Amino acid sequence: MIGREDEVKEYRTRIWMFQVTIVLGFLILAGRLFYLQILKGDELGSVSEANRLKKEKVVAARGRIYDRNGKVIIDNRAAFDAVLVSQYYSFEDRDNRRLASALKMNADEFDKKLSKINRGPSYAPGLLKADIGKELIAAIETAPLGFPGVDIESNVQRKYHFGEVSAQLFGYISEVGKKDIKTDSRLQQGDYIGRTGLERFFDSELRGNDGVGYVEVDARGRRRRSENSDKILGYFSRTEPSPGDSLYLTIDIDLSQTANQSMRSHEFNGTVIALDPRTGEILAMVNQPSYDPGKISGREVDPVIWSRLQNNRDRPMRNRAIQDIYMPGSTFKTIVGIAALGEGVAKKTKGMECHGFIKTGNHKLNCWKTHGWTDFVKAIRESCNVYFSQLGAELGIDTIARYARLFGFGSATGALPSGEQKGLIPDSEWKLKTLKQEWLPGETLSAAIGQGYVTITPIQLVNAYATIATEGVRYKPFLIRRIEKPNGEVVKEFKPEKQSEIKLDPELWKTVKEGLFQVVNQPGGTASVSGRSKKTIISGKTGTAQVRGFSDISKIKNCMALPVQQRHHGWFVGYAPRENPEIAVVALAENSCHGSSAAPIVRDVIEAYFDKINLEKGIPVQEETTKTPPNKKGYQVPFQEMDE
Amino acid sequence: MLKTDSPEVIRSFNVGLAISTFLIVLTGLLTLFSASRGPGLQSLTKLQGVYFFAGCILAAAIIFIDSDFLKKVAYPAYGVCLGLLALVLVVGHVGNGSQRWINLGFFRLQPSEFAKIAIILALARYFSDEKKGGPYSLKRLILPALLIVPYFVLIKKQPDMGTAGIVFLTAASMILFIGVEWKSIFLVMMVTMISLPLAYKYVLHDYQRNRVKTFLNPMSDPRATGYNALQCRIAVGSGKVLGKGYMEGTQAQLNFIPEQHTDFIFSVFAEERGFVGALLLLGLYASYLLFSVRSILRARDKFELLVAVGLTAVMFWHVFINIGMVIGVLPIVGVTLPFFSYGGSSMMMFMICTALLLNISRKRYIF
Repeated sequence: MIGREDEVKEYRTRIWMFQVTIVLGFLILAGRLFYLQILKGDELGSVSEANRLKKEKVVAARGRIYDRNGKVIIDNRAAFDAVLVSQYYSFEDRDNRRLASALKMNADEFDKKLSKINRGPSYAPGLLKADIGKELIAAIETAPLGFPGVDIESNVQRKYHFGEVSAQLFGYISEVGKKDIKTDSRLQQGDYIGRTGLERFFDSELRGNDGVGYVEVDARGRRRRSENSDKILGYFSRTEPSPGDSLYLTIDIDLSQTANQSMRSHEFNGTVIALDPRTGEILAMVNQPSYDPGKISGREVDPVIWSRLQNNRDRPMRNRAIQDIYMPGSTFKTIVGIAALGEGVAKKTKGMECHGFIKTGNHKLNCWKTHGWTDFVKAIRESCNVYFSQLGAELGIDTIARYARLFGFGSATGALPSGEQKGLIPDSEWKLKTLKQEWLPGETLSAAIGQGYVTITPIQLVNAYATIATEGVRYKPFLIRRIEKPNGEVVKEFKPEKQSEIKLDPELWKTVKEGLFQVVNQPGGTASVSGRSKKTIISGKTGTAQVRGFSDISKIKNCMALPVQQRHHGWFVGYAPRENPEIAVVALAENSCHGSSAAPIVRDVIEAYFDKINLEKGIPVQEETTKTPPNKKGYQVPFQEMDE
Repeated sequence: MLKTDSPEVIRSFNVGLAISTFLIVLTGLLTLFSASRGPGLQSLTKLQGVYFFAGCILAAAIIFIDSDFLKKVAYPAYGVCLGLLALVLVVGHVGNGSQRWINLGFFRLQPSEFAKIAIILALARYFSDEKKGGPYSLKRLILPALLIVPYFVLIKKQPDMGTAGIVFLTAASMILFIGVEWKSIFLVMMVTMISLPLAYKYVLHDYQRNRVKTFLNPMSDPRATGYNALQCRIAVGSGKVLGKGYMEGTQAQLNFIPEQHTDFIFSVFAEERGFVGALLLLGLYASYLLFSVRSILRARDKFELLVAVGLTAVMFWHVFINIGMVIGVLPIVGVTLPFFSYGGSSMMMFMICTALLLNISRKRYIF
């Protein structure tokens, strides 16, 4: 055996080859380790931190919106979305079916979502279904086979406690798009901004500042579920978000609900505004038809709901109260009357004969009834066209316009920062300038009864009657009482703002108010059945705004025979109580033919207002409310209520 | 270094090699435990322990096998392995895009692991039978090359470039050790340099080309192919001097390191233990290799010597290529880290290697 020693001997001398190779090889490895761990250690260390710590936006809660009594109108709620990270999902038919049924989605809808997610980056979570309830969350999280790649994301959604009530005023929010980010560099993807109404006007106050948090994530970008109690939220460090400021409104949400309900029950489109004539505080501003902003403020908006809203000819998202202009119709007569009394053209005791029509040149204007001998109060009470056209002719258009402007017509009231229409108070200068024509005396006859070129907004109208209620003191209508930080610190407070005082003879106001009182409370008054309340004394004025052209005025009596879209709008604007009025209300009932259709809505609101005050004072509410049958579109109006 | 006085088993036992092995296995099991905390992986450490235990039993038997018997079974073993390598391509279990395993029910056998030993035995047998000895000319190397090529081709076909490479490098190491004419070495080097670009273009698979590309420029596609390489480097580097602590490696625990219980387990260790730990582990492997060099010295005939040379080489290439690819001095190829990477066949294979090395160093002057 020793003999074999020879055959290995010479090889033993080559063992150095191994030793050298091993030492060299390991030196290379050690050198590289030195480079990575010592020289590059800090750099790679921070890369590893960046790997595991994901910067996350800590969403600041959007400010709440409260009503005048501190009732929450709009706040926030937690919402949960099912999302999918496509790189961890199998996309197998079997899993698709399981997942779709767990999320209660139909196959079409699910496939659409999947292909949309597939188009995005494979590591980014894509939305499967937004705002899923507890049951669906449970179905996802407890599925026996699990759903790899599916995650539940939490976020905050807006909660509109009163749904469609005043939706156009409060507005809605939605996720920002690329366009928004372009115009405002502070916005990031995933932010929500107000799109309409107060949500939009006070967006920067409501939005607050998002914080930044770092969460530990695994390689899949999923939050690590940590056992450590100090990491319950998963944040390693964070800067706290500062929630948005809250708005305290002048709105009384209960009253708004009543107004909305009343509009609904009478089945008219239109608007109702209530304000306090003593301050200009807007108590209610509702529109019909309406919509639920909660349905379009989420992360995912049902395209069917959205397109229905957009294509609805009745424009449910429109805030008619400030965004639309209408002819004032007979409600304008009161202004003309004040002008006539103020200028000495009319006197309380002076009267004239109504023959049922008035003629100026070749311009003939019909009255809706032959009133016979008519004095100022009767003219208001029974809304005599002839009387006021005559006064108008005597005053001239420029004087009428001057008085109308004193009451705020022709310019925005400033109730909201923007979006408000001005309407038009025509005068001879205006016509010359815009139409390059002389003002015709015949046109004054129409203007004096609120027809022709005259247009106004509902908010202007109610504010003008509030000014009558206060006998000349005009306040700027406003909506926000104060803006408060979450800690209660008041950022801004809004006080009633007196805009002007119309100085006229107190007797004049008394005469006008007597007329408005009799409209509702005297037999023969145009709203003496529809507007009268047993709880308080309402004064006001009906009006009919034509939808069709000027020449159709003679067809008024056949209004109900017209197609709904062409029927006249009915106005009622008034205030209560008779002495020291506390509330002024306007109602516009579109296509209702008569102002008396709007009167019950105003009465409902005014009665609700006093019921609430009595309740607060401890006075029991009178059970017997004044009831007229809901004035639906086919209801026959008693003859004496026929306006014009 | 040579002990010529005692025939005693215990005294001539390569204690250093055994101790190095145990220390590496122990460190490996601890690291594997930390690397396999993810869902579905928790049982791996226990299984690896079982494989080690089975390997110990196998090793105890192998230590006492007579080397003449080994020499006798060298060619049959080669044949059996060749058969298994062919079989695996037909009935093999597919995993991670390649067909490497034969499912035995209780165990998934990876024939390519054992092929490494078979080729060592076969080559050792061939060269020990060759009485003329080196230095060899290319012509005289044709026959041994015919032993290597079928293995290389079959393994590459799975595809398992890493193992094929190990087989090639191990065989080449043995041949170089025996001695090749300088003329021939020069010729081979020339041919290799010319054919390398061609091989890159026509022989390599797409994924293998991508690996080479991302090795040369890891940032070229940090989300896809380069991801593994990059994340491993980040893990190792972020361990800095002392490491993040046992089971505290964020790269590993948050699954940024792919295949962290198999091919990339070194990065888990380096992240947890830092530069100091990594150097100590390198030291353990170095000592294993240097102790196995001692086995070469104790070989009593050419067959044993060549077997020891092959085993040392296979061990060295595994350690060097695995750590090298993890820390970015080599492109990524699927090569396991001995006693660290999870895998039954791999663990068995390295236990057999160690046992054979212990066998060779034990038997000096036993009659």
